[in-house]
Amino acid sequence: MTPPTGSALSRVFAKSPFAALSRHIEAVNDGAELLADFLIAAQTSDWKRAARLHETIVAAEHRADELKDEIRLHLPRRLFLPVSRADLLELIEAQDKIVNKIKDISGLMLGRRMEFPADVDTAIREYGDTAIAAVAESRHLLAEFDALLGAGFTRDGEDVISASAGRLSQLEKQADRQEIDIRQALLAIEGDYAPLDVMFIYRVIDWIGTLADRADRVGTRLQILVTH
Amino acid sequence: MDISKASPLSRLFGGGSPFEALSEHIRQVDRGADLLTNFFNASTEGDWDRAGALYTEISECEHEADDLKDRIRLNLPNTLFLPISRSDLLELVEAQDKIINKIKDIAGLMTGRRMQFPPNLLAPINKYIQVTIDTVHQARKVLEELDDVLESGFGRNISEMIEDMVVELGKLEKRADEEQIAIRRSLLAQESELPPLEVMFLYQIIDWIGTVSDRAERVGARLQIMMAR
Repeated sequence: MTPPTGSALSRVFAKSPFAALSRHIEAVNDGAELLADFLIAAQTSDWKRAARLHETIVAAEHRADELKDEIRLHLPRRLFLPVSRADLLELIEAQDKIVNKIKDISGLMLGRRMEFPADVDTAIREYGDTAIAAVAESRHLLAEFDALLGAGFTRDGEDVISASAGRLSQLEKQADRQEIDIRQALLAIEGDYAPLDVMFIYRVIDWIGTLADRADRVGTRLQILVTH
Repeated sequence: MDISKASPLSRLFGGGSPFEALSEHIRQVDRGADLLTNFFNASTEGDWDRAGALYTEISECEHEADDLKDRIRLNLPNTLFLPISRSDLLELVEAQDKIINKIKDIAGLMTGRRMQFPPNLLAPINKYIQVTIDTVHQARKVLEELDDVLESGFGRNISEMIEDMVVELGKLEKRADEEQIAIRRSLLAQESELPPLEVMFLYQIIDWIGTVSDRAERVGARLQIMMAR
C-alpha cells in the first residue's frame, strides 16, 4: 500500500508511522460505512447481503489490526515532532477500538438474524447513522491533524482541531439523546417480545452508543496529543 | 516457586528481579487455566462442593498473580540493563494478569448460580474450553522460550522464533473463535426451551471464555512488541 499522496503526514514522514495512522482511520471509517449498509440489509432481512457485508467489515478490521501492529512496531523511539510517543499509541488504540465494536455489532446481529420491532426500527437505524457520522468526523479530525503537521502546529491549526472535536462531541451527545428515546420506546413494548431477543436488542443499542463514545474518544486523545 | 529458582532470568538478575516475578506470574495464570478444566468437569457432574473448592483455588492463583504483579510494578528499576522498555514490561504483566481475572470471573459466576450447560452443548463447550486453555499454555510457552533465549545470550534469531510461536497463538485463538460461533449457533437453536435468564448467563460464560483466549493472544502481541524494539 502506498501512503495517500498529498498528505502532509506522508510528505514529511514517508513510510512513517503517521502515514499508517491515517491509513488506519481510513480502514476504521470503511468499516463504519459498511455498517451503514449492513444495517439497511438487516432492516430489509437481506441476510445474504448482510453476511457479505459482515465479511467485508471483518476484512477492514484485520487491515486496521495490521496497521496498528505496524505502527506499534515501527514507531521510532524519538520523534522529531512535538508529540509524545505514548500519546500516539493511545490514539491508535482508541481508533482501533472503534472498528472492533463495529465488528461486534454486525457479528451479533448476523448470528442471531436480529430484527428490531417496527416501533423502534427506524429510530435505531438513525441512531446508528449518528454513530457512523461520529466515526466519519473522527476521520475528518485526523485529516485536520495531518494538515496541522504540515503547517507546523500553528495557533490557527489548534482552533481547527478544537472545532472538529466540538462537532464530534455534539454527535456523541445527539447519539445519547437518541439512545434515551429508543430505550424508552422499547421499554414500553418489551413485554410483547421474547426476553432474550429484547436483551440482545438492548445490547445492540448499547454497542451503538459505545461506537459513538469511542469515536468521541479519538477527538479527546488528539486534543491531548496536540496540547501536551 | 521452585521452578523459578532455575530460571536464567532470575540468575541473571539475582533474587527478586522483576523477571523472576514475570515468569512466576504467567505460571500462576496457567495454573488457574488448568484448574478451569477440572472446575468445568465438577460443575457438569453437579459436584458443587468440589467446584467450590476449585473456585477457591482459582481465586488463590489470582491473588498470587496480583501480588506478583504489584511486586513487579513496585520493584521495577527505572533503568533496565536489557534492551527492553519499562512500559512494555508493565503492559505485558498487565496483559498476563487480565487472563486470570477473567478465569476467576467465569468460575465465580458459574459457582454462584450453579450453572450447567445443556447436555447437547457439553461436548462442544469442552472442546471450546480446551482450545482456550491451549492458548494460555501457548502464551506461557512463548514466555519460557524468551527465558531460554536470554540464557543462550540472544544467539538464535529471537524475533523469528517468537514470531512463529505468536503465529501459532493466533491460530489457536482463531480456532477458539470458530468454536464459539458454533456453540452460539447451537444455543440459539434451543434457547426458547430454556429459562431466558439461564440462557443469558450461558451466553455470558461463552463470551468470557472467548475473552480468555483474546487476552492470551494479547500477551503474545505484547511480547512481540517488547522484543521488536
